[in-house]
Amino acid sequence: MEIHTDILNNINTKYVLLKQREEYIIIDKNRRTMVIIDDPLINFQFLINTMIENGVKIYNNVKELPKAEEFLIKEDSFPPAYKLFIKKIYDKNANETGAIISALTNKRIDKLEKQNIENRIKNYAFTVLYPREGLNIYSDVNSDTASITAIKGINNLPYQDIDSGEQSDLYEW
Amino acid sequence: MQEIFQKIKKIYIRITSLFKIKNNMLSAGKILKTFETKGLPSYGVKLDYLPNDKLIEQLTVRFNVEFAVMFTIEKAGYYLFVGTHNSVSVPVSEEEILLKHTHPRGTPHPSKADINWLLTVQRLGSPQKQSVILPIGKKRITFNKNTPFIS
Repeated sequence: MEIHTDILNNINTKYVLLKQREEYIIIDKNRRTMVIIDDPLINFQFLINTMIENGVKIYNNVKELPKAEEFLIKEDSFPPAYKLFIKKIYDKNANETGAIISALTNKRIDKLEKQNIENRIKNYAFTVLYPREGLNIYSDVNSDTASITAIKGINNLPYQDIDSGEQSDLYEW
Repeated sequence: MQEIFQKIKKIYIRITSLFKIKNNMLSAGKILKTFETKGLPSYGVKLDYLPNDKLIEQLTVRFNVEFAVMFTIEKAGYYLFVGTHNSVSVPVSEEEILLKHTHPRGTPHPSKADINWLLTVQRLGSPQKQSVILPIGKKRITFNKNTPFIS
């Protein structure tokens, strides 16, 4: 995934800014590292301005940054490798309405690894599978497998009012 | 006499362990194969040797992602950080020295973020004055805070 897409999708959850005099630095707060972007095609200043417009948290001192949550792995341990399985969902008119995306890992994963994989799958759904579409994402579907369900155009789907009483108006609570 | 012999033996074991090269799977000869079979680490790994330019360039060409080699003063160890095809995340601390990093697209200039990293660690008290970029397909370049950059 492109780094600028990842940054804009994860403002404040993963990426924050550090202000050093008049310069801004992009910080990965989970790792407490600085993101060095080496791509002349990415307008660095425009990216910073977009982050500020989206309400990114700005720190003024390195020491104020939160403690790292993700650490370097040991020499002999690697993160689990996984394969993605995408099952498309269609409505009765054979229009695609979404997908169930599951990741099959080569070893057991803990809760944090599961969350990390699910976050990556979410980004994949937003940026690759259904770019520029509003999605409803349901995660934590399975307790032991990283999996999400992405539904697009949920407002256009047909619905059925379960309560048949006269007082049941969908928008009057 | 026996005590002296044991002391000498202990000192000998210590000295040899200092110079002993660990035959781990991330040694220079095996690192490429390890990454190919087990996948790239999502963040980075600790190494017990300084990888040379050729090895780092070889890894960059094979996986098309940025690699950065750092030296941590406090722990006196080398670390290899793995990034994406156009970025890499490295720690910001006065204890960290960015020895070199690659530019997979071959950009022979530092980026604004490269210079910003150097300025930030210098303000924190790092002794680092310059660093090295390995642009793929071009000669290695050294940059400092005054080097012209691409914004």
